Amino acid sequence: MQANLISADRLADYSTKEFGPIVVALAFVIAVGGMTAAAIMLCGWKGARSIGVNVAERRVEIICR
Amino acid sequence: MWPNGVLKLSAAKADTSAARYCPLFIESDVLKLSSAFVLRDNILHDTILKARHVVHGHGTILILQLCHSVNYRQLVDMAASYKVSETDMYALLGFLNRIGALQRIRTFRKWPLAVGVIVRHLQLGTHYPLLSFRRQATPRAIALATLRATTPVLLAIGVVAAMGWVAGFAPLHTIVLIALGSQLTFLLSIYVHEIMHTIVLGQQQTPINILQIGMRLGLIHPALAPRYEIVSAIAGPLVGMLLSSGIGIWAWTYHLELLGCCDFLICSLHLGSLLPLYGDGASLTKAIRERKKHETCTSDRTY
Repeated sequence: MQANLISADRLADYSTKEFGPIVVALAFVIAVGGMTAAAIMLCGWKGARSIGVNVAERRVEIICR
Repeated sequence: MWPNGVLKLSAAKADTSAARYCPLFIESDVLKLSSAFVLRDNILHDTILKARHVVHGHGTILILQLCHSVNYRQLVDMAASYKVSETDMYALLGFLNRIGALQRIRTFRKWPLAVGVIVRHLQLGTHYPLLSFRRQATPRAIALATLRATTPVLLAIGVVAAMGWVAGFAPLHTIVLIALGSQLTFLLSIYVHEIMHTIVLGQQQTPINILQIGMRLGLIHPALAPRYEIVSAIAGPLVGMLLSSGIGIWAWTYHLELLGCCDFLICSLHLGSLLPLYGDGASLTKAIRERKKHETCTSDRTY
């Protein structure tokens, strides 16, 4: 890291190890949020009964009320 | 100068790589160097990591001011009097923030002003990183750091739960139960994960600090022998997995299948952290390699 008033010790390790699980969790929640938003837009005021992921056919299935 | 004592935004801030780690400071903020750092003979010593960062030129004077707590306005004025450029000053502060050396004291009534500035500058395309949090790894400090790092996830779960209720997936009490249960399990599992790392490292009488910057969370400690690194790298995710799967099984027995599924997903996150790509998995792989290299060198010597 460049900073003209200070030079970093190259051997110093300031890595933060728990970044991965937290970011993956956030990405998953955002993905679920996206599917929920899709359910709201598609089903409107009636609401949705269920939402599922069909991995074999690679699609999300939303069943409205 | 902007009104209300906010220093004018300088376009030079984003020029150097370290400057982009500099958080927003307002005039009345008091800045202080963390007690884990000592400035001696133009070298900034990280007493926990045993690192030595060489300080150049007027950086020494600025860091000396930080050692004794300094108002941000006074620091800026001092930098200007020594003809230190804004870029260099932001880069220095950004570097100190990145390694957790910077602490800030801001009065409560100044927070609305700071938030207003952040929002206004965000509209102009300037994003300020958050101030890092670095403390001695006590259970309270670890809890605070974990809460700070996981806040975006907890908020996202809340928002998605609200959207799920609007979408009509389930009754409100079910959605609230699943959301709160997932948030609690996630927070607790990350917390015990870190606590377990601390316990294993603490048995080696090693000084440990917890460092949190945004969603980044980790323990700062000097390098240990490979076998202790291996035990530490496995212990944290293992305890996180046990807790989340335990809560998941409990939820399943009480017919809360959806909550159980969320808990098993959280369990898989901890398992995933053992992959050699990043985090504990990368530490584990590195420690195993070092141990094998050490064993190979030892067996070569005996021949």
